[in-house]
Amino acid sequence: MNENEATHYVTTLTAAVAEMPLPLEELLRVGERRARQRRIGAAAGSLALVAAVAAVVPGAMSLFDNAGSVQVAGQPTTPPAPTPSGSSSPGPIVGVGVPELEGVWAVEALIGDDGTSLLTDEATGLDASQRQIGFENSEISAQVQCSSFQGTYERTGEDGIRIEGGELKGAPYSAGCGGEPPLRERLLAVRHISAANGHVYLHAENWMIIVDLMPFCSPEREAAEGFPVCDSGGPTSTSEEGPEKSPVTPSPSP
Amino acid sequence: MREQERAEYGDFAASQWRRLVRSGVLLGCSLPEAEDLAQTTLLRCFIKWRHVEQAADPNAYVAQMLNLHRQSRRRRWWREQPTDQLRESSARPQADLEAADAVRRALDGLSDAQRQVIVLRIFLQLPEVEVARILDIRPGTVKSRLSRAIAGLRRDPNLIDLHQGGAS
Repeated sequence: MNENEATHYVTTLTAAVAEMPLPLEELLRVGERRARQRRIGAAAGSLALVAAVAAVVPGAMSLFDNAGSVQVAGQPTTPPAPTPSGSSSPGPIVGVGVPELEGVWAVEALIGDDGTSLLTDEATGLDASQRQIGFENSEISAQVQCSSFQGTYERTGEDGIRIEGGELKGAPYSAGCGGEPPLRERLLAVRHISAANGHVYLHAENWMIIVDLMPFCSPEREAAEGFPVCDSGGPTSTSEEGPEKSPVTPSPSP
Repeated sequence: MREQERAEYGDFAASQWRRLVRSGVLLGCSLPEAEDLAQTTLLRCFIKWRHVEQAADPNAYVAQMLNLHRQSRRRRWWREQPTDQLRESSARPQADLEAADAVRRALDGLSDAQRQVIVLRIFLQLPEVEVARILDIRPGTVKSRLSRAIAGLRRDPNLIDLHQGGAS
C-alpha cells in the first residue's frame, strides 16, 4: 500500500460523512459573547490590580473620578436607550451611577476570585432564562446554569450591598450539569454595586467585578442574543406569548 | 469584531467546516463529536481571529487548533439538539457504508499518533514540515510514523476483507 492507496481509503471514509450545515450564526453569536467575557475578565483583573495598589498607596483611588465604576473595555461609550416597560425588567440605567436593583437581570458574566470567567461554554450557550438574577423586596433569587441561590439582600450606603442566603438543592436545570460555578460563594462575597453603560456590576470588597448584569429585557441584550428576549410591545418584538416569565422571581417571605 | 472581519471569518469558517468535521471522524470521533470538535475549533478561531489572519498557513494553524482541542477536551457541545431528521448518510448505498465502516475499523487499529499523521499528511495534505511542527516531532519521525501507519492498514483484516469482497 502506498500513500495513494491510503488516500483512497481516507476518501472512502470521509465520503460517507454527512455533516450538518455550518451553524455560522450560532458561532458568531457565541464568539461575540465569549470575546466580551474575556474583555470583562481582563477588566476585572485590572481593577483588582488597581485596588491592590490603592490598598498599598494611600490616596491612590482619588486619582480616579469614580473609582467604583468600571469602564469595561469594548463596551459602547454612549448611554443605552431606556429599557422597555411592561415586564419585570429593571428600570433604565443611564451613564454611570448607582442603580436600582429591583427586577430581573440576565447574568452576562460571573467572575471567579482569580479574575477568570466561571460561566462555561454550556452556560453562555443557554438562553438567559437559565442564567439570571431577580431582586424583589429585599429578596434575591438566582439561577446560573445548574446552581440556584435564594436569599436576601440589603443595600448599605450609596454603593454598598450585602447578600445572604443559601444554595437551593434540586436545581431545575440538572441535565448535563457538571462543574457548575460556585454561585453562592461568589454572591456572598458581593459588597459593592456600580453601573456603567447599561450594565450593573456587583463587586467584591476590593472592587473586583464578581457579576456583570444586564436588564433581562433590553434592546442591548436582544442585540446580544440575536432574538427577541421579551415581549416589550416594541417594533422588534415578535413574541405572541406575552411577557417572558422569570423562573427566578423571588417568592414571598415566609 | 468589525463587519468586514465577520464576513471574512464567515467565509473562512465555511471553507474549513467540512475539512474539520471529517478530520474529527478520521481521528476517531463519532459524527456528533466531530461536529462538536469542529465548532469548538472554529469558535477559538473567532476569538483568535487576528492570529488566524496572520498565520503563514491558516490551514495548518486550524489543524493545530483542532489537534489541541481534541487532546484537551472530550465533552458535549452546548448546542447539541435532538432531531427527528435522519442524516443523509443513511440514504447512501450499503456498499459505500460498509467500505467506510471497514476503513473506520482499520483506523481504530492504529495508534493515536499514527492516526494524527494520516489525517494531517494524507487527508489535510499538509507538508511534512508543518505536520512535524504541529505534532512537535522531527520531519523524519513524521515519515516513519506514516510509513508504519500505512503498513498497519495494509495488514488490517478489515481492509483485506474489503479488497477481497471488491475483487469477488
